[in-house]
Amino acid sequence: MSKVVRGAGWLLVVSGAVVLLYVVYLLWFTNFETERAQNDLAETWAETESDGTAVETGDTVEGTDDGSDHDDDIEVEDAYAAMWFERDGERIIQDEEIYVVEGVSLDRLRSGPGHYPDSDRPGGAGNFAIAGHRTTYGAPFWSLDELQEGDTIHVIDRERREWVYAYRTQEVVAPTALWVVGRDPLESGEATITLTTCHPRGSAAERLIVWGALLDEPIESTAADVPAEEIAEG
Amino acid sequence: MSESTERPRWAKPVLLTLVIAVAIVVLFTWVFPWVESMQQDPTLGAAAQLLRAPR
Repeated sequence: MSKVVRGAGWLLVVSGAVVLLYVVYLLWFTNFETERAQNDLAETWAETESDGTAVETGDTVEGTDDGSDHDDDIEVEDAYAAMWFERDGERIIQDEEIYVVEGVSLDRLRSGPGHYPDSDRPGGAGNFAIAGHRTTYGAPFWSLDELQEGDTIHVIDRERREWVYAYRTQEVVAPTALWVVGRDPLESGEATITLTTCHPRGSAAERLIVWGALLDEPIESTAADVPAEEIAEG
Repeated sequence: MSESTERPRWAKPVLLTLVIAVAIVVLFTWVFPWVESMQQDPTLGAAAQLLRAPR
């Protein structure tokens, strides 16, 4: 009997230790991993020529093959874009620039928010879509729900052009609502940015979607005929 | 004459430390990322793949 009690005691101790370690992993380890990746991306972003040519070569992430200017393979260590949020000229959500990577696989999103490869490019006449973690991995989109009318979303593309999107609206949708990354999700005819993240925090039960509209004159779309399902698939 | 099979005193703590170290590496490298990927997915990709999968 005492052996059973002892065994059960050890089992509880080990289970508790694993749960504690998991909390450490979520709250510290994933953030550390992303912080390191973001620092690396910032470094290569600074070293990279304004035309997006990487200084050093390495593994590449496959882009789209639609003949657009973003069909060039992007080095894994390169950022696809840099972004930040502003309210009345002050940065909100995060003080530092957030570097966006190409691709939305969970592996890629460990480095930062990811561009849905089949969605439009920054400044494109269609829908430029980005996914980012709400919690863990630096939680770049932790307070995305705090965006309000008048806020702006700033994006610098690989050619170092700055594109400004005005916050339009947000919605909580089911993970099956693929239309949110479609060409014109708000049916406004405007060039759009779509940000997707988990909702509620710490759960993948739903998605929080934030949309913005381009304030500048858009450039040619690179994802005119790509169906939403294909974009969502990444 | 039989050889003594008694383990040295230091063997137990060293073995225990090794087991714990390996367990932590396995947890942080494979188990936790897998569990975490079940809980966090900011994309719509999983749904898109499910909808595309042959039924």
